[in-house]
Amino acid sequence: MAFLEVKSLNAGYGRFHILFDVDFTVNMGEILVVVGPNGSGKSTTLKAIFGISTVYSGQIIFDGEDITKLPAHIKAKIGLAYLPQTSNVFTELNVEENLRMAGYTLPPEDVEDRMQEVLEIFEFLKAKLKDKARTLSGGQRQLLGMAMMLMRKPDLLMFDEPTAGLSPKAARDVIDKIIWLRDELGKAVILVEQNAKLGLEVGDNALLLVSGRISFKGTARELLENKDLGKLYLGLAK
Amino acid sequence: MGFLPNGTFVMASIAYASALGLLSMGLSLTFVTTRIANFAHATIGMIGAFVLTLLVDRVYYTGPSYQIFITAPVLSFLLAGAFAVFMYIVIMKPLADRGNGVTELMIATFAVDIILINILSYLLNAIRGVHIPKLIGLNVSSWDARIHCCGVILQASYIVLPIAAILLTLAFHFFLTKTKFGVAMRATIENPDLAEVMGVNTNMVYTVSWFISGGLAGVAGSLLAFSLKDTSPNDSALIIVSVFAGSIVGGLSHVYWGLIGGFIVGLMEKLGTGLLDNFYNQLLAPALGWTSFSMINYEKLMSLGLVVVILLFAPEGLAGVDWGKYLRKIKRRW
Repeated sequence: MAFLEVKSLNAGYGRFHILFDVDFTVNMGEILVVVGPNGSGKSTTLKAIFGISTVYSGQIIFDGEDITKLPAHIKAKIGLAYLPQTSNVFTELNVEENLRMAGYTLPPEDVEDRMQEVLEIFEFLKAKLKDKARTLSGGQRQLLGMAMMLMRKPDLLMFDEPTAGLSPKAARDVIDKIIWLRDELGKAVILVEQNAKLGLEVGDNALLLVSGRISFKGTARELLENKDLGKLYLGLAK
Repeated sequence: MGFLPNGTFVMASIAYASALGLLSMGLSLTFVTTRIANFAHATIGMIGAFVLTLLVDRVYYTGPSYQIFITAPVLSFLLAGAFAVFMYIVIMKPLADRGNGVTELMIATFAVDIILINILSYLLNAIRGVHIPKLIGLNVSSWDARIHCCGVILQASYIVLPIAAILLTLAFHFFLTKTKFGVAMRATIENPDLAEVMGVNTNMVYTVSWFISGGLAGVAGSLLAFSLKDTSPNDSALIIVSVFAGSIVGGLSHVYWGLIGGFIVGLMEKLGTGLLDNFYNQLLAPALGWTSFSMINYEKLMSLGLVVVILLFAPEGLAGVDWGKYLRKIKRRW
């Protein structure tokens, strides 16, 4: 059985139906890349899985358990983590408070140890613990967001366009960390990426969404080499 | 300088301003967390006045007692906080969950306000006259202990109210900065979706914010009732104007600035009006031969006038002003 199974998912915002019968699976140690044109429902897919958009029908099975109707704060507790595209850190809290906030569901006695472990991975944060998060650069904020995700040792990590608006170097740093999460920690990752080529190069499997429906499901390599779909939807015409 | 008000009047003004500060801080808190402009907030405060009146009638009827300054605020905090939670869970949240917008929710708070005023009036009538002949229209200031301080005799509530405001603000600041749940509340205020994603039960945060807001209003109401001429739930209709004025002057989306805004509005209403009244009637009118008239009844003109001025020059209230810039300018000059 797959680690995450999404079955016939129909979701949206209130009365605005965005996703139509979306099915896919993700396994541990695997990166699923979700690509598609603007407004195709990529971000909504992540939000629906996490419970912050409206799910009309369908099922979300996580580690064998149906989590479709669970509220987001419970999903955070059982091993899911989600990094939104924007507003993904608390800008008015300092870095330390952000990390403590991320460890909200941990037993109090574990927070300090976990924070030290995370700071060993994201060393640049050590010197910025008392700085307000709003003083960090865009790339540093993304990395703080990733550090916050790791505080709870989640099994499934979902990234919503983590490289958007970053310099090429900062984008590379973020992508390298995502690869490290898969290769070194064996985590399951869903990566929504606006830079389709970059995303498909690091992904194992891929999902192409067009107008809220799946247009392609297969390996990332297959989609990268599919000239028709690449040209039509992903700007990969070469 | 005969037009300057006496010490008793200054202390009464500071006490009133402190109560408004607490009320405005509570109003801002529920606004920043749940985006609900609660027009029943001052009437929730009147629950405190009701508790005080009840204690005076049933427990402390023999005369002034310092104990009442502990029992009344504590009971009022709990009771008013509990009512605010009830109002949020039973009325406001279901309405918000059904997709009602800011305006509909605001109108709903008006409805709650009217219902609560009637309930409190009924209860005051029901308990009337065990030890004191008539509770409605009762001036409970006679039950306020008197303190001799600096050559004047003050009502004890004039001292207790500012102290309570300072202590409650410090406690609230400690809660927000040093406790896990308090930091979660700050995080939820800034970005509720992200807080939920981090595992915070934001609905619990909203509920607690309503409890604290109601509690602060209850404390303010219980101590302010000592200086109200006639304790009646209807007083809230006038007080809420000043409470909103305070929150808006501070900047509706900033909790601490709500406290400061409320305090400023309170001082303007009492001390400002008093100064203006004395200045006109004791200096200006006699010197120019103009007719004297009392300005005391125009105190709301001061607070609402201040709101207009603030909104013209600082649309986001005092919180939106770049104070750092002015401080730097002052530093350079010196």
